[in-house]
Amino acid sequence: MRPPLIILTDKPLDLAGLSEKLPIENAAGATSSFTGYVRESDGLTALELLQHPVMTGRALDHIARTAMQRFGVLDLLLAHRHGRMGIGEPIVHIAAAAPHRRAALDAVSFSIDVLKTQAPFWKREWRNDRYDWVEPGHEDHEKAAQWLETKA
Amino acid sequence: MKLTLEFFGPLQDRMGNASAQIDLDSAPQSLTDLLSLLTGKLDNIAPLQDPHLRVAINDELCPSADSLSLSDGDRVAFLSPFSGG
Repeated sequence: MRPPLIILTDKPLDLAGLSEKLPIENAAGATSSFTGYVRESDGLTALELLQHPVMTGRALDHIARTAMQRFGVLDLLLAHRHGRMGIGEPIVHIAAAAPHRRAALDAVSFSIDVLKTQAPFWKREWRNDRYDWVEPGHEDHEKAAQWLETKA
Repeated sequence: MKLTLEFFGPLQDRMGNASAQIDLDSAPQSLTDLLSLLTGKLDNIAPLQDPHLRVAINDELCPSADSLSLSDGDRVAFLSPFSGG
């Protein structure tokens, strides 16, 4: 199994460039991807994602490897931004390449659902010079639990 | 025993600092022990009693707060619930 492609950066995600990374080989019959963006809401001026200097990258790698193994995908790309970003900017991009569509779709769903509550990121919403922390919601925990409590 | 406590996420604001140096008379065996020993050493330990926090020692998540194995100079991180993506 090839290692996953992990990108953890404080620079803007280049979606056009990322979209060309998969598939890598002709055995891939399907690719699937998810991109999460900073959405406009209630006077928001910026979103800031804080990371742990060591544990965040390691957690992303672990989640990606688990997804690849569990769903039998050929390649998985997981790119996540940290730092401060404006409305409309991408926060996270995940793509999977697999022999068949179900594996590619499930690997991406698994990765984003699990990442939400299992990767050490903390989010705060800026409104001009004030911020509010965003705590994970009940739905976030439920989505992650669905994958973590059931077998493939 | 000297420890560095690190605070991540909203907890950092609640503690008023990103980290704290502490000196303990004995080695705590569990999170409950540690919190008990911290009483009086930190201005405010109430935010550390949140059951949703995760704990890491030297950047490794602790599987259970019931049993901690700490050595002099260790870094103990208290992590607010994660909110990525």
